[in-house]
Amino acid sequence: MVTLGHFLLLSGLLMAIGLYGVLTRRNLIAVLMSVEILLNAAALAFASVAAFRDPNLFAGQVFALFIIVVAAAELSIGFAILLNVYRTHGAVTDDAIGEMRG
Amino acid sequence: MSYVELSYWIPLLPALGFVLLILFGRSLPGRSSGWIATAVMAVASVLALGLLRDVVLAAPGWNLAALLGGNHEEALAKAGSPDFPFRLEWTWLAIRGEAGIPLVIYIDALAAVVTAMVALASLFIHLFSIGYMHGEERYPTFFAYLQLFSAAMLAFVLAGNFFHSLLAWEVMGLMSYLLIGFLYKKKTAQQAQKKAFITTKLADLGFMLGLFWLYLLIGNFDLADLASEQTLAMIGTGAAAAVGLLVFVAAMGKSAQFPLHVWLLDAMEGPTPVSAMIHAATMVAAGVYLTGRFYPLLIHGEVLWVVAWVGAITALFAAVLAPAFADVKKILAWSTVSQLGYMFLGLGVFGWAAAMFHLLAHAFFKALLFLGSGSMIHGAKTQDIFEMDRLKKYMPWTYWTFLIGALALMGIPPFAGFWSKDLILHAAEEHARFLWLVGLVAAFFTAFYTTRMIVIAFHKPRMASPWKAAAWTQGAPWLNLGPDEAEPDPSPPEGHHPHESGAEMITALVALAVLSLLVGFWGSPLFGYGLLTLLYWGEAPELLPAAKLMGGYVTGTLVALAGAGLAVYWYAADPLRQRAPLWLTQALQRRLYLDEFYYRVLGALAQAPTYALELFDRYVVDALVDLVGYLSLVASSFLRHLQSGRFAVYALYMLLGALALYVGGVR
Repeated sequence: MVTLGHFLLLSGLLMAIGLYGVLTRRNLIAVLMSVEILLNAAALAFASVAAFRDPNLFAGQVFALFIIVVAAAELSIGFAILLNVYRTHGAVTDDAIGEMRG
Repeated sequence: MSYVELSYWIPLLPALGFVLLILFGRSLPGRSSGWIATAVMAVASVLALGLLRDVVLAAPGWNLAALLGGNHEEALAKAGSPDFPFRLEWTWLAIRGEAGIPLVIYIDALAAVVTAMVALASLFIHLFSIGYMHGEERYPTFFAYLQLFSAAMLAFVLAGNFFHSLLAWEVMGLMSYLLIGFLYKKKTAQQAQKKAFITTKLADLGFMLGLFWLYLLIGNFDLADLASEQTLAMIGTGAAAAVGLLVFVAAMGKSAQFPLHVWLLDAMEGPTPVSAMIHAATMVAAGVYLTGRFYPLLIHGEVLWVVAWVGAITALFAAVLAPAFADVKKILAWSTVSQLGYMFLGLGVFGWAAAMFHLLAHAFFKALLFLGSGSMIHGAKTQDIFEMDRLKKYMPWTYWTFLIGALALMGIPPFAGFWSKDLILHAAEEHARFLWLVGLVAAFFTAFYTTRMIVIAFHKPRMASPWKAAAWTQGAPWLNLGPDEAEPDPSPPEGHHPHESGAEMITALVALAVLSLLVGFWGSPLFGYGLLTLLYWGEAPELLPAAKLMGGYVTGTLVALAGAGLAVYWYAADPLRQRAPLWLTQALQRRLYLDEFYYRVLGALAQAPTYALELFDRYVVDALVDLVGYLSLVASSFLRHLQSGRFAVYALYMLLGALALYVGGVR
């Protein structure tokens, strides 16, 4: 029997993986991918909670749809920025763009 | 509707004229802005003359013989109107029923006479300027300034409340600053306007302090109230002396009395009508008028002798310096200082009415002389009397009108200055014999330098000015300008022939000549001292001249003739010969080094505390500021490590922050 708990466990695992990736990866493309995983974790949590609570309401699924759209927009902008970072700095790792270090 | 009720329009009209010309003057064609300003002053003059008529009809009449006999009750030949002196009052600055500072117009005989004088003199100065300033840059602005200057003086004279006197007084200070520096491209004009403003401003402090003190003593600013016995009884002698002297310091500044006279000579940098305005109708008259208004307080404080001494010293000092100058305007400037000294001398020796008479007479003949000098400068293209070529031949109108003014200045009968100056000397003879002698010596010098000016400028052909070159090599140390910065006035081109001035200018000259004669006669014994009895306020008969004046008249005339005779004897034959020792001439030309003393010594003294303050600023204030900066630098040297530049670290902070919020929220 698959319960809500399993879905939330999976969502939590995705969240942890994404967070780990954001915090540890040096390559900014990998960081963006990790952010995707984070967003998907949130989308999964919304969708599963909504489906288990009241199958007739689609509020959670609507959230998941929004998250997908926002993620697509975010990625296109993010990659555009990274492309420019690559042009100016010659690399897309976070230590290459550390000008703001205090 | 009587002219009294219309009196507030007298200062208001030129003020509106100022607004009109300063806003729209530039779009007015040609000379029309000058004509508009003149027309405004003409209307104001009509109102002022009507006001004077009302006052003459309403004022009490005095029988002079009975007055001087000490019989005060019988002396009142005609009872005055019950509402005289006139008073108009409006509420101003009233807050929730409190009295505030009422806007008062107070019209007694003095105010009416001086208002008429200011309006008329200003009218003819306006008229003269139409021609004189023609072709000048900022022509409408000049007339706008003249309008506001006149408005301020008229408001000052009519103000029945010293608070408003102070406001008008300060506006005059500003306008003198703007007009003296009207030719703002000249370095000397810039320096001169600053000098005038700073000197008079410094003196104005006395007016403010005196007024505030007076308010603490009697609780209002009312002019009429100050003259009443109850008010004076409320003020102690010491306080009255202090307040009176503080106000007198302001009057000294405004009326250019020694040692605050230094600004007036440099004020000649302004265009000539401005000199006429400042030196005759408005600015310098204000100081004498104010002292006349504070007269009860000065008597109560027993400090009149200070006024007398300052006046006598100034009268002599300026008259002695004048013969060393070759610039016609500077000679006239010294004569203004000297004549103002006479007025204060008169005030100081209980000759109140005589001093006010001299104020009026001087206003007209000095306006005439200055405008005449403007006409001379206009025609001869130089200010140096030596470079003027037989102006009598080329400018007859200017010559004859100037001569009337000069004879009035010298005190030759029957011209205006003769009647008024001899009354002052007469009062001095009775109350301070030594000062009378000082006044006589000054009168001798006055006649001397005036005649010298006339002989050299009008009768002699053009010569190379002996003193121009000398002044040029020295620069103008009294203005803190080096030889490169103080340009000498250009000499007229070779072969230039003087020409008579235009019709407006001649009209103004003739009108002022007539007016100065009329005022002189009005105050003379020929017409029973009419002006003096009108001014008399019915308190102290000794303010009026005694009848035994004939001896004084003869002495005054003889002294003036002696001075004039010496000048003719010296300068008709050989104007260029050096009569005084050279060092003396140089010392006189450099104004006895007083101005330079102010710049060097007083300037340094004034700067000494600023040096101390600069050290304080640098080592205390700045050090505190630096300390704050240093502290934040130290703090940041720790905190900056948080700013790693790695967004992963920032993300970690975010995560920790979110967790902290979550934990805090759950608990």
